Amino acid sequence: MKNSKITKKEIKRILDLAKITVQPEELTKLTEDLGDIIVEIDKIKNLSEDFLVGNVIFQQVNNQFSLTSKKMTYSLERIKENFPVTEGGDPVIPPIKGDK
Amino acid sequence: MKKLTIADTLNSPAEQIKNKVKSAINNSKGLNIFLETYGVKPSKAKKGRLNNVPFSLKDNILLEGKISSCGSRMLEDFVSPYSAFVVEKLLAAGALPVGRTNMDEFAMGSSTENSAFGPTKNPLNSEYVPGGSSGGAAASVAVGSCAFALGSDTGGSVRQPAAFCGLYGFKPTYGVFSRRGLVSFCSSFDQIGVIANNIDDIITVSSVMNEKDPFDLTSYADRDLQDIDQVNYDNVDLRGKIVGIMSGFDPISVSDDIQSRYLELIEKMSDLGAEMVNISPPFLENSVPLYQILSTAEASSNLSRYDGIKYGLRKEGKTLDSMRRSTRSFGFGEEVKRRIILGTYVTASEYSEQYYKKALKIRGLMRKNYEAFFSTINYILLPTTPTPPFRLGEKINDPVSMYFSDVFTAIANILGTPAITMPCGESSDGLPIGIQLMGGIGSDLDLLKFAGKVAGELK
Amino acid sequence: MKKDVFPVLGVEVHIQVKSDRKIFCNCKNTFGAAPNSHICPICTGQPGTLPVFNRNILTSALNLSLALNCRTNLFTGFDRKNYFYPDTPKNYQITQNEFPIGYDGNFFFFSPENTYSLGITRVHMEEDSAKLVHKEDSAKLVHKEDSLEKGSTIDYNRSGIPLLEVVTEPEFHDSDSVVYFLEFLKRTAQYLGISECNMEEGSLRVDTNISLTHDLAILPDYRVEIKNLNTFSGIRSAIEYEIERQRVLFDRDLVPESETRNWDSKAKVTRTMRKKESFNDYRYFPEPDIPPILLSEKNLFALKDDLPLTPGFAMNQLTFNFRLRKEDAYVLSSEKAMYLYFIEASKYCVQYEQMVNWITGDVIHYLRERGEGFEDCKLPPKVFADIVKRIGTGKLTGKIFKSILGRLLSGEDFNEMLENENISVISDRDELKEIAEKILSENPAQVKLYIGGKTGLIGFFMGMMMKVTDGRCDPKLSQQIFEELLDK
Repeated sequence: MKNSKITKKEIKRILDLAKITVQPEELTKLTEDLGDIIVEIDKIKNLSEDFLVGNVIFQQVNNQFSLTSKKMTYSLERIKENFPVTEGGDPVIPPIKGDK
Repeated sequence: MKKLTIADTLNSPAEQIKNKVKSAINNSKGLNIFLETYGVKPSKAKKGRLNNVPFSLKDNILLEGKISSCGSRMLEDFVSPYSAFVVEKLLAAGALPVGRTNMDEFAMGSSTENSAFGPTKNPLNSEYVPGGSSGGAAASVAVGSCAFALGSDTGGSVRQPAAFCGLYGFKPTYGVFSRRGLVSFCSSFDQIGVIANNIDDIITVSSVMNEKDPFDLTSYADRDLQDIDQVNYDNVDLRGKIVGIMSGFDPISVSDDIQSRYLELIEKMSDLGAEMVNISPPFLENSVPLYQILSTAEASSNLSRYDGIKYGLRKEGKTLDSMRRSTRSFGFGEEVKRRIILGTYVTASEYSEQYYKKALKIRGLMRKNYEAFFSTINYILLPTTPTPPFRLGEKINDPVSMYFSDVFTAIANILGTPAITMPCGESSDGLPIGIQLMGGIGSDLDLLKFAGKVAGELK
Repeated sequence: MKKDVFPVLGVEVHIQVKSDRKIFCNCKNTFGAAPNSHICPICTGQPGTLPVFNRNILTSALNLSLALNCRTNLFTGFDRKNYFYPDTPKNYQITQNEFPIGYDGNFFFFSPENTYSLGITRVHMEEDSAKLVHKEDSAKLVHKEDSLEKGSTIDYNRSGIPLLEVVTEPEFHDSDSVVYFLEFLKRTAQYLGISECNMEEGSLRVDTNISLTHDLAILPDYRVEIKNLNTFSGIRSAIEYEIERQRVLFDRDLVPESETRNWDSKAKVTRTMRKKESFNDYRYFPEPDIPPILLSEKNLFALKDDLPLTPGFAMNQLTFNFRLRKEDAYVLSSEKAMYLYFIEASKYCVQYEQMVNWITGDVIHYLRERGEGFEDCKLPPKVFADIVKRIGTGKLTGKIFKSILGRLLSGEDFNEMLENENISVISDRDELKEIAEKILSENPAQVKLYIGGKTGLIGFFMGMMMKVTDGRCDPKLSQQIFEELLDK
């Protein structure tokens, strides 16, 4: 078996969390597949947070929004961005272009 | 194959519609499009804007009293206790559900090969996949069994099969269509989408289905969309519109045919007066892994409820725990299990910070960044898929390459923006190719009208 | 010599919010209805359903959080807590993890003797789980892992009932203060109209964490959680038992294991339920189906201004403004309606202590007998104050008040009684003298003895007087008259 990013033991623990049981051969395939997928998603893990340095035309835009990478934490502002727009708790129509 | 449009059906006698649908369904039996057909019963009374217009439902959108299996053994016998909000709206407008269509299990896949009930074949060439996960939905429109199909789009699942079947496929802004009654895969990306033969029909259906649903806190009303009746493309002008494009592709992963059609369209639109600017959408290359992390994380939680206790499949076991484990192990297919495991992994306490939370953070930054983009440009033009339709079995054993099918589509789900795919010529093998237009949040009608104009010019 | 050990305790309390409907759907929030009679696709976790947050719960949550002096998260929202359990229909619970509605609080509470200050870690909203109904004795099985055995059923009526969870800092050191805290928290929730906090019905549920340490400056690195605590006395016994059990281990230089234990109320022991955190990974993440809640400071200030009365305020009012003894204030403020009754009556009568004695004595006793409370007491506070004033000035006796209290509480009018019945004290000198003379003439033997020096017999004459007048005679005056007559 090729050198996988994840061990069978680790997969077993995750399977237990997810309440799924697999046969030994299925476990081998799962471990290999997940190893490949983890290589892919590691692109996110390894992504430098300076990634948003964009192209020339929109440099201005990017300057406005690029954030100092060192300071970033899982902060309140970050989380706010993950939800649809709200005001006092009730969901509000997302800003419609041209409305503003 | 005689295609159906809303205009056709509204002008045809009920009996004729019934026969058309019937024969289209019968003639396409070998393609495994429908998991169940309901029998068409046109009504004499005029009910609404979609009177007697036949449509199909993806197997994860609920219709009260009918089975919704999500293409899974887990819900093979699950009878919906209520109807999806958008289905209620369609029924009230007089539309006729003709059946439920095959799909990748729990909408996880890009080829409809992950269905527990066998793959669906592409109506244009049965050796090829129809795309997925709404492969059955796209095929049902392509064979002329209905005027439009409802699918669900979490990472491209409406647009990619629409492109593979030579059709129009629309995913609106997150929240335009209520998700109540759509079986959740990834709650923050899932949107119901529409597949049809033309953009007029997509606009009409969207107009009927949009409303703020009190039982979906993420839904909202789009007045422009609700009020639209007849679209006049004459007053839509390409001149003065700024369209962001991508200048170069990785030639290994994006096929020549796709690149050629894309470049041709850019030239054509430029000739018609649109300003085509190279923005090389940032972060596109990372959208697939980002999508994988966030969608599987939510899926692992959304699919926890299938445990054999309340509904759906139950495999007996000696203890409750063994019952639950054997139910889930047997009930879920390979791809679903793979994604549940991945989603559990990226949210497990020791990995959450580096995968799930990092991805959330990046999504937040991306949304801000693109919002800024859309304050300057009007649309972004991208291919819908990196390749034309592929052969059945070609990618089924290579999940990573299958996931790459979403490379141009997942971004709209990550951002929550509307996007529509339009047929745009053929590959050298004669298979359809789709190109996609994406607009800013809430610009649905504007985007549809612009796409309609472009589509008109392409004819 | 053995080193001293100190118990360190923290408490987690779940309070069911009294609301019309459940937290995420339109089902009725009731107790005791037929099993599965208040359920819908949402609270049974059907595919395709989405939670719809009931905003009324937010007001309750904010009020409790403010009453516990917590800081408020103006940006708040829900998270998913993922775990498989048969009573959790979605196999995840919608709760608040990252941004609880209230955090970092400081709660002042009282016992009859003391005032306490306690750190509150957090207050958050969540949904209740369904209830497993077992064939056998349910209390015995309910917390056993994987206890959905053959014949067990699930009642989803409870699924989705709004809960407020209060988590305290580990600042308790004995069972008394825990019970006083719980009593006062219960009062607070009742005053705010959040919950009846009925332990028998499960609307107040308590888990407690107990560990011991040699040095109070160092928090212990293990924790024993005790569940299944159904009564205040059970909580007290369980804590005391557990402290003792751990102390014995400490004496043998052993460190107790982190685990969850169950209180067996019959055997009066705690028993291991499961070893702690073996693989509890809840994989919390933000609930994507519910948009976050953004509160404005303006909203919050308005809410603070409108914060309903709390028992802490009541205690301060009674002890500082009315100068009542702490014990009296504690009893009087145990019910909001009782406290308010007193406050209303206090506008008309300054004999506060006497009023407290009556209110917390005979009045509440009679009311309870009638199955009523102070909120529907038919004796208006103003009339009650008038009666106490009359007793104070000798115009009415306590005995008579007691005898007519039942009728007053049925709604009879006191002033009519005064007019039509002989209930007021006889303080007319001549009238009393006439009666006294009659008594003396009818008891010559006793008079003789009295004159002979047995002056204690004055009590006998007074008794006769009481009997003849139905207790209405002015006792001071009567005694005076007897003494005058006998001394002659």
